Amino acid sequence: MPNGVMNGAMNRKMRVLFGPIAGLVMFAGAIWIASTLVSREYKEPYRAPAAAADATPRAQGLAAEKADAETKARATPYVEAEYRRFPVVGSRVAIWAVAQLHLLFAAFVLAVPLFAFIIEAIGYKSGDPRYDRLAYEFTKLLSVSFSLTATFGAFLTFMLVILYPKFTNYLMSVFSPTFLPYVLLFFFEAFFLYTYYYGWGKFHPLVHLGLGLGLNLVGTSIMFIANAWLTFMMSPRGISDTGAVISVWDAVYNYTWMPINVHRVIANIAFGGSVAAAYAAFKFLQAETDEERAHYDWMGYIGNFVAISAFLPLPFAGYWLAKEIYAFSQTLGLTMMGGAFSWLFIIQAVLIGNLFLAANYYLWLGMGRVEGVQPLQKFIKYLLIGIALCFAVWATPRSIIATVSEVRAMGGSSHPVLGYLGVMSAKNTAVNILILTTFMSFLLYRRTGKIATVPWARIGHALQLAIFATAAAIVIFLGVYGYFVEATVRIRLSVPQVSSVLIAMVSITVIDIFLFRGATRTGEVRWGKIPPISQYVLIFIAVTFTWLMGLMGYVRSGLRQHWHVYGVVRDTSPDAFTPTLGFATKVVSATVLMFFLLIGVVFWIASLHERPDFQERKKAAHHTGAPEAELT
Amino acid sequence: MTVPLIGRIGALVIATTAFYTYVGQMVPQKEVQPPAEVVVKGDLSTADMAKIGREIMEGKGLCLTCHTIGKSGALRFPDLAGVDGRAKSREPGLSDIEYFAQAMYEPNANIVPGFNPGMPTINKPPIGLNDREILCVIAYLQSLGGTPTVTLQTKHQYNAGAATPSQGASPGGTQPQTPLTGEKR
Repeated sequence: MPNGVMNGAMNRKMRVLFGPIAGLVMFAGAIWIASTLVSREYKEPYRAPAAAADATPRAQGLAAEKADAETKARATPYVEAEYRRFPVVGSRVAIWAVAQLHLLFAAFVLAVPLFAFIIEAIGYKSGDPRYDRLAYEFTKLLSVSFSLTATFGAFLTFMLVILYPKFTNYLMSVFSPTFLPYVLLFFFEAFFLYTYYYGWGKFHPLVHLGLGLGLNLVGTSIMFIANAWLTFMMSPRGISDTGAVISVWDAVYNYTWMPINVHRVIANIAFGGSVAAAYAAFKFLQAETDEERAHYDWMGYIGNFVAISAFLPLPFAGYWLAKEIYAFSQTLGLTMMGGAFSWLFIIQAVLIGNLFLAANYYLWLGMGRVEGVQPLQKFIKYLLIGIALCFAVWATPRSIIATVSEVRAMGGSSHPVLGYLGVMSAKNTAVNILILTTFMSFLLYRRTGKIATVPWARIGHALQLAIFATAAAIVIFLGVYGYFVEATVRIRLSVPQVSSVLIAMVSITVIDIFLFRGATRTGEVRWGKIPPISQYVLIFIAVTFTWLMGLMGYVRSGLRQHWHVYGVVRDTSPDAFTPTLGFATKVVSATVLMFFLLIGVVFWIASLHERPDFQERKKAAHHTGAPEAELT
Repeated sequence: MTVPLIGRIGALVIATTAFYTYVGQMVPQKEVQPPAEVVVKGDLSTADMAKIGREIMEGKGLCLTCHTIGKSGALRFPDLAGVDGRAKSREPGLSDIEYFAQAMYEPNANIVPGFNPGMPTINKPPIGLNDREILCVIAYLQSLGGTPTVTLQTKHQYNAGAATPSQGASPGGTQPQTPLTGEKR
């Protein structure tokens, strides 16, 4: 037998022998350490004898003070704190900022896997490796964001326990059965996320897609559980008048739980898409080659497409949520739309109007990438007029801030003409037409550089136009009709308005897909050939989305006013008042700036992937004669 | 001098948030304090009760969040101008006091035609007025189109009393209870 083989066999035998011996030695060691520690007698730490210690009057005074404080502390009975104060900004603002940051990162971490999974699936189905690369690029942003989400989640939990102990204890008593599943799901989330990310290209594509699916299912389930806690605070159910738990399931499945679940999934996708598009914009502006610019232009386009596609149905999910809030409590609904928060919706209108304008502007700029765009560009001015008009109507308040003489001149706080635009009939109409117009922009972009060649092309175009016109006519007719009917009828008119827009969008898209199947191309899409300002528009959209999320998070939470759990657990802290909208917007801005600072760090860490190794850069610097100090 | 990319993006983010903060300062600024507790002393006159009732309706009761006084047109909830006149005759067998009490203790028992149900139970959270506060609100509602007659000793079917007949208010009345069939609000 050769020496090498003999040595190998010997080594294996030795390992087999030493394994149990080492185990026994370690076990004996552990027993010895434990028994030594247990048997050791407690000894007071050494202190200098009293005679040797400083016996000056000052030292005696200090000792007396200490003894007095100790005696007082012993005499004070233990009282459970209801609230504790956070220094400088107060407890409410501290919790608000941490919760908002946690939610923003959580939204991003939940949204990105959703569209990364879809893009990866498209890549697998089409065999186009660009999609796979794009999905991976999106996923690269996840790892650090996940850690930050968990960190802020833990931070929020500690802050709640420290600053609002009594209320947190109550929530825990109601929802304790949900905590263990939550933690368990978090473990699964970490498993799926890291295997999905680190396993890119290491598994069969279907196995990898399975991991992505698992990641999405677990992530969504985590969000649903957390949503139960916060919606319970707004619309409690499953408890007695005194707050005792009757049914945990009813507490989970409260009035606003499912609307918030749906609203958040959609809003997260819109937000995640916009932040990913902002990342692409940043990389585009940094790019040095045409190839890089083309890739990041495409990535930005896809991110924005995801964001706007999710944004279009978002108002409908918002309607459902508002309807459920009214169904739970008219008082709560009226506080939202007609009370302290009514002006907040004017700010929201400004934000959403800006989003629509920016999204359309980006699409119009994007048309320039395609050769043969001129025939469609003439429509842009009409779309812009439509959007501007709808924006103006939506941002018109019902009552106007005016001086006494102005109010006298108007005959009330509402303007005699513009006042008619400040009511829900006008606003519902404006937002539905705004959605239809943006959808039209998408369609124009989609068909830029293409000519339909199917035999029924003319009929198809006419049909699309007819559907669009009919939907617009229904929306406008019902909007006007709303002024002439009772409240009970008027409230229900938003349903056919929304339905007609949704039906129009779906049916026109279906026709469009078949209409442009096998279409003739009049020009190629030149990715990367877009003005740099378009990339700043993408960043503007991401900031606006983030700000909008912060604002709407505030109204959802602030609606409870002086209640921790509406109608059940009253807020008796010094922060129980509802602050002014001006103050709220300052807090929202501060959290948005903090988020962008942190997401900038995430982008930087994600980009370290592409950085050459230090040693390689050192060699390259050596060859080019660059100083080593530049190698940071 | 070219501003570095990070500086340009930072400036855009700051400018955008600053703009929205500015918009936030342009709207009316109102800080809403938790409703102040109203002290209802036992020796209040009916006129004082009506005054306190008005305060409660504007504050703790949140009544005027939904209801209006002296407005017409497409309203979401009934206007309260002259409501006492309607309350006396709205529900056969119920006095205005009983009618108002039912509207607050059991708001969905009957709904004014043309309006949706939506009024919360006033003696339970989140509003949670006590019996005395509700009597004060009734006093104020009586003053809208009528003369307040209710006192803090008035009994109705929800504060251990019984329903009183509809012919005028009868403070402290102990008439037999009438079945709840009337329209509310």
